[in-house]
Amino acid sequence: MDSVRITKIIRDNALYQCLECGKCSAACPRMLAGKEYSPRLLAQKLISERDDEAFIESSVWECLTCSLCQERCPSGVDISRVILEMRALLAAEKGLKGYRAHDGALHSVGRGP
Amino acid sequence: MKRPNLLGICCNWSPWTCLNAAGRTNLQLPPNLRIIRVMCIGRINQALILKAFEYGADGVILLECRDEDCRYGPGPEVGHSNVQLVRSLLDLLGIDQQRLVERSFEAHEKDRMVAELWEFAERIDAMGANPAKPRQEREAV
Repeated sequence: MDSVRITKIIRDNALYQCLECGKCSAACPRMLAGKEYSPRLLAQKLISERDDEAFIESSVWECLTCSLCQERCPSGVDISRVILEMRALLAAEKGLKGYRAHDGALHSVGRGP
Repeated sequence: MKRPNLLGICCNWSPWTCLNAAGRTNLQLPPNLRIIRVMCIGRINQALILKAFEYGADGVILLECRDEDCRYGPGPEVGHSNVQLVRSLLDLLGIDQQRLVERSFEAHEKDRMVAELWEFAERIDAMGANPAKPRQEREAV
């Protein structure tokens, strides 16, 4: 992954303001539905452990972009915006299409019976 | 000769995250380096850096965030100006200016941080003891 562009995304969205309080994870509907998913952990991995590409990639595509995390964030970090920009980055880098989002659920509806 | 005393003053944010990550992956740090964690390098003033030399540090390294990443605002800029001023004082005191180093890191650069710390340790090792050290300390082996 392009470390320079990730740094730019982090700076543009002030992700360094993250306090690791975990409110985003507590609010996340995916987490409430019992999936193994944590916006807080994604933010931490983006900041400090960028070599864990498998985790970052799966988290980025699993997000519903409902923005509830941003609503609850005491530091005002817009995680869903970070995720949208990360999707753009990953899609451009790996030649993926947007339908990877939401585990491909939308794509399977659009495909019909 | 006894190993030189190295002091690292480490910002709590990006550099400390690097150190944590380095610790988790079992990277070796110089054994004679002691790290003090502060909330921001902007918190350290010139007197504190000089105090370290007075008490017998052979080298001091300031580990800080990049200028644009400071969580508080002007921390690293304050650090740069402090280092400039302390360096000119070190010259007057007869201590080599190279003994005071500042380095800035992003939070994912653990490998670069460990490399820089080793390089710093080796350079101070080659320079030998700090000439302004109290004599008892210089003679104690």
